[in-house]
Amino acid sequence: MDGTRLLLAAALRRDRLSLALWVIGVAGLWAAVVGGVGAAFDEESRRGLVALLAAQPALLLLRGAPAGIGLGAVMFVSTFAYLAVMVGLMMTSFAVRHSRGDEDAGRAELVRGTAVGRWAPLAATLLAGAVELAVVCGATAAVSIALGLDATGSLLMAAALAGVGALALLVGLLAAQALPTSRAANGAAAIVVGAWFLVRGIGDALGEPSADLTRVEAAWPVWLSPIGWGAQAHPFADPPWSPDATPLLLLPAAALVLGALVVLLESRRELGGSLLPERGGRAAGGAILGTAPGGAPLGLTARLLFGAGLAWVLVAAAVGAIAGRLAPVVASALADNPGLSRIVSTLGAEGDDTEGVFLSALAAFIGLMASAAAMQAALRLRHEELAHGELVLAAAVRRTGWLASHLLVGAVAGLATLASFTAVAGASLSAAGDDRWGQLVAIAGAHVPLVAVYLAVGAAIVAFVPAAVAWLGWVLLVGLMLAGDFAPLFGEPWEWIEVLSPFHWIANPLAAEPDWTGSRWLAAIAAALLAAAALRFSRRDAVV
Amino acid sequence: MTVAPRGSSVGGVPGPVIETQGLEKRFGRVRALDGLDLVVEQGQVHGFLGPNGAGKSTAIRVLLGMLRATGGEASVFGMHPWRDAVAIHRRVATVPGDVTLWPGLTGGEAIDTLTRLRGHRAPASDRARLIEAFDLDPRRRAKAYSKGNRQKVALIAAFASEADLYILDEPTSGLDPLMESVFQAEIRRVAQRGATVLLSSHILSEVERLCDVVSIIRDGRIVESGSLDQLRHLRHAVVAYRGPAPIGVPIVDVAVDGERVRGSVAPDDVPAVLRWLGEREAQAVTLTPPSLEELFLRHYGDAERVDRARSERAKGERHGEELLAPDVEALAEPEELTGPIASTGVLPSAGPEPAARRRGRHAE
Repeated sequence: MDGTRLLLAAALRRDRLSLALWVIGVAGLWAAVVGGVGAAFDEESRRGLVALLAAQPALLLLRGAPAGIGLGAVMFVSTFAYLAVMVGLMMTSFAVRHSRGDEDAGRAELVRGTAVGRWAPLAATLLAGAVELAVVCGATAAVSIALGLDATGSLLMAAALAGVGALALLVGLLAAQALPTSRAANGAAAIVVGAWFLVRGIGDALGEPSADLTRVEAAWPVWLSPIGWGAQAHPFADPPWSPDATPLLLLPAAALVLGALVVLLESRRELGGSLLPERGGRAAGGAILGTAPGGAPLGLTARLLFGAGLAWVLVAAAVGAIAGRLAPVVASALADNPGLSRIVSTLGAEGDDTEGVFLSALAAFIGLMASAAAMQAALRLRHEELAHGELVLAAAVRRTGWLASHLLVGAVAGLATLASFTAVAGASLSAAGDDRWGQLVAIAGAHVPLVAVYLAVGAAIVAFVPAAVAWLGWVLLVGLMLAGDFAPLFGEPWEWIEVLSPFHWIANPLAAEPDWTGSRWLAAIAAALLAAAALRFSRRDAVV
Repeated sequence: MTVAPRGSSVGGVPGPVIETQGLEKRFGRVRALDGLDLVVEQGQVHGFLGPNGAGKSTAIRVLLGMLRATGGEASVFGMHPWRDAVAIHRRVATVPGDVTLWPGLTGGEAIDTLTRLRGHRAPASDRARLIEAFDLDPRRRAKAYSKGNRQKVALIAAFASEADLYILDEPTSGLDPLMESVFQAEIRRVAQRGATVLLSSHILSEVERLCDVVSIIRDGRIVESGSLDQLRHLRHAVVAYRGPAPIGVPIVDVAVDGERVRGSVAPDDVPAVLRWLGEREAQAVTLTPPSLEELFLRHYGDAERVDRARSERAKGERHGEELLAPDVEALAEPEELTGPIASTGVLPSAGPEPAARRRGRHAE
């Protein structure tokens, strides 16, 4: 097709830096975990780790169902779902950036006005996505083989990641075709990838552990998720199980279906068109829109951020509903299995209350989401400054007021995300006669300081390093979460990394005597960051 | 920095609405403003002229407190543009050079948001009249607006504000000629009300039609400022005729093309030149007063002439005679550059302005 090759080269060139970062992130995480666990865990401790995993539905949900106690199998179960989500988000954002994003920015119109074919931009995006996937997954396989893991298993895992990534690429393109703005398309596609992770987690959490607790047979919901298909290939399974490429065949089959849908939609789509059309709106602004108490344009900011905040709240409500339905099920499955409950009770006080631990694990997700919701609202200020600063700042708007309006809306979005999970899960449980309101509120409350920290991180980035607004906050959010999650696998020499992660300092209300010192520190850090950000934002030049 | 005198010029206290002295703004090593002295008096419609990249937008952003000056002084309504930004903005309405609206808001919502944020709304009848006059559909979302329509939203929001000062940064870019006349009518309306207008532009015909006073900015400095009549008086008129070569008559910058002769005449020499032309029975005589274009090109073209001279000196050529040759003169002497450029009414640009950050882009 005319121009495809040029567009492909342009797309790859544009993304070379972000591709390098993703390679470092994905292959680097795998290498770090293989190296760390290989050094820190011998077979006996791996057996203990897998037994702990198999016995704890919360861990099954967060990590996956184990297929053995070999080094590869332990690594795979603790890392694969995360790697798949990373590759998935990499591809959805890639797809939206190179389709709807270009159209929003007007670049697509410029390109389509030149001698390139109608299908060339889509073809170039698909090809560039395939190239990037090949690079990331190839690097992961190479690293894996180089570190001494089984070659077949490494290639199977890379193929599973590539398959998930390809589906995510197509989902991103579909979202871009269906929704009128790149912001909405990005959000919708990311929610789909998140759902893949969660559905796989539900299937694993409901799984059937083997008698010796070295493996877990996942339940049917895993078959609803591409990440589940990848996991079911068990690339590093120990006998009696063996690696099996068959589940991976579902990935190309689904890709064909989604790909056909993309082509069908694209053949009917005009430049900039979307399945969900923009509706007309009100001819006059409502009374709230222009409210600006004390020079803080609250009405405008709330209106602009409402959609994104609502999405977080609704997703949290859905997770709350799942938690409410699932927690009693996993707890009773455990109670029915005397071998399991014996192990769980040896894990100490924290392990006693399986249902509480399960709810707490899901709440950790919600804490991450609430932090993301809050930080997103703060980071949005930079976009507003660049795009509309010249209009807004020329009105009677105070800089600190503008910042405060974003922080307030972000805080509300974060707290509402926590609250909606708590409310839905609590209501669902108490409807089943299981009153856990106190516990749920305490768990949600323990995450409030974390939300405050990331709200402040967002503000500080906008004020001090606005050029990094697109990535720094998200790297700090996801990177520090992963550091908190994975550092324990690396053994004692790496404990300091865990200590750096704010996720490490979230209080555990399930403990006999909860320690809230960390929470106080987080709150103090958030307050200091916010004050510094406000000072700086009111003093620096506005870039308009 | 000395404290500018407090007080309102609109409230009757005399004093310029905008005053800058030696205003400087550096971005790293680039001097965007290099000692800008600008005075805008109460009630003026003040044209702010300069090519792209001359510093117009930077000056406006400093006056609006978005950028902090690195040197010199500035005051708006006698207040400090950075410290008293909000107090100043309550009395100001602006239209930025590059209007990006919120894609999810309709045009009508954007207008109301902006006027409310400014805190000085005109009566609803004014809003309706403006929407009608500018022919805007206020129900459409901004994403679907063309460049001209986005500009209209900002203009309506500005004129629907009862401001004391209107700061407009190339406000008519993207407007069709019909809308330009609506725009001019609105400027006259607010000027009649006693408001002050600072109109940055590089569309000279617009400035000539609207402005009482003009300041020309080049490389971050005001190079010429005064009323149009004053400025014109200092400049040569252009004479063109068919007839003998102008020998023994004070016509300078001569270009001869067969029988056609063009040249310029100093204001004091006009009677003598007309007498000479009458005696020689010259045909098709035109005598044009200097347009703003020529004033402007004189300053803008100077740089070109200096550059040319420098490069020729570097080549070891004798540039003195070169400048007299008609073809070179046509390039070097701005007075001769009236043809195609004058007819478009738009100046050549000195360089691209910072890349526009644009969001919505649908054509209608």
